[in-house]
Amino acid sequence: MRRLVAIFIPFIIILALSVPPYLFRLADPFQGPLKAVARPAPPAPLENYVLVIRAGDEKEAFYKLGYAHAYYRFFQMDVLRRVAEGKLSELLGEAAFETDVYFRTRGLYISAGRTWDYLKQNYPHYAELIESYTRGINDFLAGRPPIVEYLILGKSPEPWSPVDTLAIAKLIAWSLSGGEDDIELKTLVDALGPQFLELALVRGENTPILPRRVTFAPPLDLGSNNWIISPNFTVTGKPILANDPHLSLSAPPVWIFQRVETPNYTVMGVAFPGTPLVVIGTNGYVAWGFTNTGVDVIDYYYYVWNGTRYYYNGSWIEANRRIEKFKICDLNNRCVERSLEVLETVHGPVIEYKGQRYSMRWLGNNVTLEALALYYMDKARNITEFLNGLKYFVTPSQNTVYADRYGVVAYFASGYFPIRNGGYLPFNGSRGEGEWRGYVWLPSVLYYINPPYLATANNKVADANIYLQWRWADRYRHDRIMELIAQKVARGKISVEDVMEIQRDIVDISCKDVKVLLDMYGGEKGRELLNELNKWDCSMSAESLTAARYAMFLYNLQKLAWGRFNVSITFVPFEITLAAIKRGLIERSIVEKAAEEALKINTPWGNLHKYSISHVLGAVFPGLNYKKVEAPGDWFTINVAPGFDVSHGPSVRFIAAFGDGVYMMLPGGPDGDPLSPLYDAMYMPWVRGEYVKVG
Amino acid sequence: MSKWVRYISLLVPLLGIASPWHELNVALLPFIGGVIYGYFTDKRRGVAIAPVAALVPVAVVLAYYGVINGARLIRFISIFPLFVWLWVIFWAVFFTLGAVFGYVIRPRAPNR
Repeated sequence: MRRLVAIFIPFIIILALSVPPYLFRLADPFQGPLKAVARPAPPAPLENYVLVIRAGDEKEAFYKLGYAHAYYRFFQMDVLRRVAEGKLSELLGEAAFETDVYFRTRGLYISAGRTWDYLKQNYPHYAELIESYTRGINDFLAGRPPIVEYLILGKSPEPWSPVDTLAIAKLIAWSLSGGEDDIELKTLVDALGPQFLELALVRGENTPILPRRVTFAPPLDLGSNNWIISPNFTVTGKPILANDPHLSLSAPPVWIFQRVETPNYTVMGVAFPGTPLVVIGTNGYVAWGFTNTGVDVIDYYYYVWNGTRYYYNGSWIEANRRIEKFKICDLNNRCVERSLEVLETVHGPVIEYKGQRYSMRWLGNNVTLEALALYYMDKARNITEFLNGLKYFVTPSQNTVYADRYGVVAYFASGYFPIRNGGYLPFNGSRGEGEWRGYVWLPSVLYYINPPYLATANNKVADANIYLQWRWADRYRHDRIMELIAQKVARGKISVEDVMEIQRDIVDISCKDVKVLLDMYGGEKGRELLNELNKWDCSMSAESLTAARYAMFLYNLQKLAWGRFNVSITFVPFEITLAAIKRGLIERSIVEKAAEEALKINTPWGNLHKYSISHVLGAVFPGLNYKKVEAPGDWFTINVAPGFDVSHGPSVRFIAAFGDGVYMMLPGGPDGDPLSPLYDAMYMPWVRGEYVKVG
Repeated sequence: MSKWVRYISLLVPLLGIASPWHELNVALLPFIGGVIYGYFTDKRRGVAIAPVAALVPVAVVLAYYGVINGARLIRFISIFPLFVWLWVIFWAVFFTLGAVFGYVIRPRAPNR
């Protein structure tokens, strides 16, 4: 018996050693995830949730920023660069392969590389700063810090390069550029005819930001809110600027709030980890904020193909080819390689979308210098210097609000716009349609200096003589901001607290339009819902049952209207849905059906509608996600919270009030390390709509 | 003497702090520690409490991380309880298997 046991036990050990190696890694208390408990001390402090960098000169500041960004957010930075460069499946395996194919095909990493070469050649001073930032990151990595996500995945972080920083900027630009909207619109136009196209392009119900019609002369050769209030209307007699850009909500947040102090300037605001510059912020002289204009800078071209040759302007041309190699690694770090041939035409890379082959031309695939723009904007001391920076900003075009200590407030739609005929539907590339004839610098046309007050919420920038885009956000957020400012102005001067109240507002004024719709086309259930809405203040509070029914009505109306066309139900703006129903392009009976579905809801809005903010590894390790809590608001409230599992919303609430202070709140924590007590430190205060004064 | 060797055997899994190999740290070192423990155990009861004895090095590791940063350790345990359980179970199982193995291969006292 003893002999049997003596033989049997080594056999068990050998058997046990054949379990998947990653189990040993996860259980290893010394070289596994537990090692992350022993994290080195921070290189730069987080004061009041703000990363503070103090440096003797710019180079040192960029170096310290690189080191600190890596310390607090390296895993997030790595994921972002890998998404942009199509290398995520090396880290996360097969699940990320489709994403890799998507981005590698579109070639963001190629344009990032070209932009870096251009910067080195033409702006060596700035290139040196990026190199300092990169050195800071790599010096942090050289210490082989225990980062919990890598210890879980069993991977080692790879060194950073300046191109990675620029690739992240390209990724952000892409995410704000509209993606495949032209192709999706074609689906709807094919199904509903030119009447739908007319509706979509006119957007007559939308409120333009600029009160005048603008004219573009022939060239000489995701939702957010921001607003500015001029000194005449504020308690302090100085301008107030507010901004809450609506982006994906993630753990950790997409932004890091930083203050960089050098002998020549101090700038504070939010930056994307992996990029050194403040994107939205203030330097004490000027303050600025962004929302996306969404102007259309992506076009798609289809051709007559013959193998890898395409017909273009009367001749057959062999498409250029590039071979993309992918490495897909599993949890045990066993990797396989795959390759993909990507064709390129004169217009750009060839992509497959909904079974059709298109070539894609995107403004961002050129050499673009947004980083340089932000560098100058971060240091600007007046509107002239600010505009000097803005001229380098190419894409994504932003509704840029500006305020300065001298009392100037201004609005500019930043970026460049390619002039061509149309641009909203795919072009016949073989016939030479849709060629870009030049670019307009948008601030030269779309600007407003010293408005009394002005708000932007991704709504129409202006009525113009050319097509800019058609998917302007519905006017409700914009109109509500303007309404609230007007109300407060009528009562007296506006304070910072008033502005905070506006950012927290959860009244959905689309209810007025919906009431009209129900009145016109509702049946028995429609009337019942209308009666309920008539007694309601349109506040999308988490405790409200009517709010839940209202949201369900909106959701079902969109779903019934557009779901059958195989497009996302939020693809078509609500104003277009209303107009399409009124015109009879969409059956009016859906109003009654949507009301019927809405009335089935018997639970408060907060039970259906929760913040759902996830970490990249959160699907496997839910403890990494922020806790789910009731979310007020909806698609159309200033405090936006679209959908039911809310993973999109105010990615920062920022207020720069000259003469008072700078206030902010992030939807999460400044520290991306899940073991840090600061990992989610600002999350609940953000949910409650609180602020910290940071300057 | 054998008592002291048994005490020392409890520390063998801690040698993993110097090793980069997960299999060694999670399976082989606890197993070797268990073998030494069992080899120097005279009574079956000593082997029977091997799973509990295996918790001694676990406690030492937790104390080590607790001293480094207690707050982070608590967060780790709350976010990744699975990893902690996996580690404790692996150490307890391999240490116990080692103890049984050591016990059966130890030289027996001649029958009287």
